[in-house]
Amino acid sequence: MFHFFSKHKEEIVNQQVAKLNAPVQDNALSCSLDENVKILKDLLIDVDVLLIRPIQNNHNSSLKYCIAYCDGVVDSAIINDSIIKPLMLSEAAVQGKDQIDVLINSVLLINDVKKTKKIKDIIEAITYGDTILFAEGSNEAVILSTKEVRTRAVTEPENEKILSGPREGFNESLIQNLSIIRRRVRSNELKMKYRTLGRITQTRVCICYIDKIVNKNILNELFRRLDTIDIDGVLDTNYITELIKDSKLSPFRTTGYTEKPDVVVGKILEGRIAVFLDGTPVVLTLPYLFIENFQSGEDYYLSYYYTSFSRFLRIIGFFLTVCTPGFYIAIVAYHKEMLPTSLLTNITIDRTSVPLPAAVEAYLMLFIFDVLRETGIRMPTGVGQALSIVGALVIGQAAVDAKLVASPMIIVVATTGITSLLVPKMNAPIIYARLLLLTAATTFGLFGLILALSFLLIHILTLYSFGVPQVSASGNLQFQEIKDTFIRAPWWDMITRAGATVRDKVRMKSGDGGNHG
Amino acid sequence: MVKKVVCVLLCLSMIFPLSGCWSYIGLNEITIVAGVGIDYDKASEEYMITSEVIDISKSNKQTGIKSSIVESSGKTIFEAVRSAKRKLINKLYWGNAQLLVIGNGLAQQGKISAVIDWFMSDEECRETVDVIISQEKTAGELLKTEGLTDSVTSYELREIINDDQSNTASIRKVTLYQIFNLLRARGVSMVLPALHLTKNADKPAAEANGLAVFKKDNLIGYLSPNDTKSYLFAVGDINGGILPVSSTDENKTDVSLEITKSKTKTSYSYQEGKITVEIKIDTDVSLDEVEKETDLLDEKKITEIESNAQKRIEKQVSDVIKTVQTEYDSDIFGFGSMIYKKDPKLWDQLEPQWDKIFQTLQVKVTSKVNIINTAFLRAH
Repeated sequence: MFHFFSKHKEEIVNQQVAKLNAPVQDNALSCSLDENVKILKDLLIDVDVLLIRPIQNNHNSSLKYCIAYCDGVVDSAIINDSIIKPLMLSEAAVQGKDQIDVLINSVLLINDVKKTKKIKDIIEAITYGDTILFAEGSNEAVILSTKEVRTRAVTEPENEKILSGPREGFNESLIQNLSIIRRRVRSNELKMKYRTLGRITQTRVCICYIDKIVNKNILNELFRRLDTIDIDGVLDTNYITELIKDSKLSPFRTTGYTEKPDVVVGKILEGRIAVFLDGTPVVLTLPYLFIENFQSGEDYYLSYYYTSFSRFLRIIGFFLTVCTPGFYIAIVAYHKEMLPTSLLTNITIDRTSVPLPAAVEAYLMLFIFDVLRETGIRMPTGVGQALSIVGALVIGQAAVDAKLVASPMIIVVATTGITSLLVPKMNAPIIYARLLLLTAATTFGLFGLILALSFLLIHILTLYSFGVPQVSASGNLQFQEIKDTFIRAPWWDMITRAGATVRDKVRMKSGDGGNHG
Repeated sequence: MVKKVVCVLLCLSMIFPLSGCWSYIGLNEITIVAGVGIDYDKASEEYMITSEVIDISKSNKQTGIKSSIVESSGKTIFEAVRSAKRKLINKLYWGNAQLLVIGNGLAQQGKISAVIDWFMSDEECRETVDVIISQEKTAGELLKTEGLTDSVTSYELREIINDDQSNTASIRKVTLYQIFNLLRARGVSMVLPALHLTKNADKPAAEANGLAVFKKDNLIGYLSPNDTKSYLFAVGDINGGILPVSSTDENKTDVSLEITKSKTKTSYSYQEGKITVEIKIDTDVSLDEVEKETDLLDEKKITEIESNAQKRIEKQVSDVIKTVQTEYDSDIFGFGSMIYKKDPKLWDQLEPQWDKIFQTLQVKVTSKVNIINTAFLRAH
């Protein structure tokens, strides 16, 4: 029975999918203006924003035109001044076969004009804010670019705040985002290639790279993967991230993301490929190496002494936030002899009147911390103060005073929480890795912790991003290759670009890094 | 695929037997032992165990760590240890025990091997526990006194032992695993630090009081703190302490030298069936205290003090060796071990009569003292 039903259901779904997939009827346009308008109206039935305006030439009343556009996405001033006005007043317009060419060449005052016979092109253009012009007696239509791009202002991204350096951020308009990049890289080596994703949304994707530097194999692989995407809509680059990911089940990122144009330019200069998506300020960069989790765009704008130390802090922070709860439990429950006696005594004194075992306490406090963190992200700003009072006072102070939680555990959870903020790009894997390590430590002590840590490291070592290993484990390590990893070497010393991601490794031609000494 | 999964599962199942001795024990399920004293009661043929445990109920942030005493007894050490549970909520936890006090009665009866054996075998105990001999009637008496600066007596005693060798050189620190090795070593006898109770501000207080001399695993006597210093010179294990000497030839003490560094070279020669041992001591000292005004810039004066110090060291070291040879006949200097290491074949011949040979051994002590620093002050 079940089987029958599920099969029946599947059939229905298949039929619906087939209907959706059916291409727009590509029946040719006719020579009759009325007929063409009717075809358009039929296709855009129930789309009430569609406006159709017939136009007649003042000098020759047999010249009849019709423009169609969607209200709200077009710039009315352009339509009035550059389309309707010349069409009405022009004396150059003629009838006959080449009337469309004449219109394009000498009547319409629009910069971007395309002739088409395909209804599919027309639908795509009209929904994107273009205006369609039909002429009586012509079976061709003209697509006139009248898009009005309404966007948010260029502001500093909220989650990538920096101390010094460029503060521009992307917004939701693809064109504007690309223009920001274009302004920063004035070279014909900067390539921007369009693709369309989303069967229904028809969202534009732009793949951006520096031709001379990019690794062509990776580029081809990206195009291949993009072509395999079959989905009704993409609203954010994360859709793409998940659809083209190398190891689909790993919580670790295999593509980078940023909202800052300077970061994107920095990445494409290192041979990465940037993927822009219309409608989102988040840009993907790939391939993505594991060390990029610890890098920040600002690293390159501040003193290398300072940022090298920051790198160190972030890497330590990663291990701390992943290991601290597990390590604490392992020590306290299995390896007490590792603690100095006075510390052991102090912890014991704190723990004596606490009812829960330390491990349960750890799970509970981590859970509460994650709840606090999650509410902190989503809540309206006005509630912030109440939350911090509840978090700090009730959970911290009161829980210890009421002997529900031992104070060392508060310190452990606080350490875990604070250090997790050092590596915001790994917020997802950190949660799971921490739980894995905690569970292993609770059941097997330090032995389990080391085992789980090895498991984690092996997993990280097996990660690939577009065929490039995320952590290079090659034996012949070149010093140049690690100058931007654990430390950030000074710019004059980073003579080459690193890694398998690039084709052209020469960053500085002279090789002495402009060292005028 | 199935094969692969089974392989992985089999590998993973290995972690259960390979993980050794473990189990989740919460901190509120243990009684932390800070130090332990062990005695042997001849009459009842039982081991008496006095454990100093951390008293969680009395310890808090204001008062600091407080301790209390738990006494138990049993026919074997383990039984005695375990029977303490009959008085306690939680089992004794030995992982942080720092001190093992052995009663002199137990040591005299040669029961020390049994004690060491249990502490080495038990998985919780540390091999680095400091071991001392109580010169009082029982080991427990030392633990029951109040510490002068630390409320936990075991910690106080341990700190006394740890710092003593580089400050007063009145004992020699020995840890559990070293005893285990010494009891099995060839050609060397064991010494353990000895502590006794003394009056301090009308209250009893523990004090480092030289060394307990063993022959095999029997306690046979003690060395005084002064003799201990000489003993440490002889074995080259002195790295601090005061050397009071005379600035003139007269037999009085008016100069203090602080030992900063000392090296001892021991060698032997075997001729016509006779062994002669030569000990060369090279000591760096700094001059810290002079009773009467002396011109410390005068090289002759310095040399004189140096030679006086040398003479004194030579005499004291020779004396202590003589005493040990005649009174105890126990090779605590490790002369036998030295021969064994250099010439194992010769040692094999000598070993059966080593006790006799050691008694009549010719030992030549030469000393060199270098004053490398004088705290020179002059009134104007």
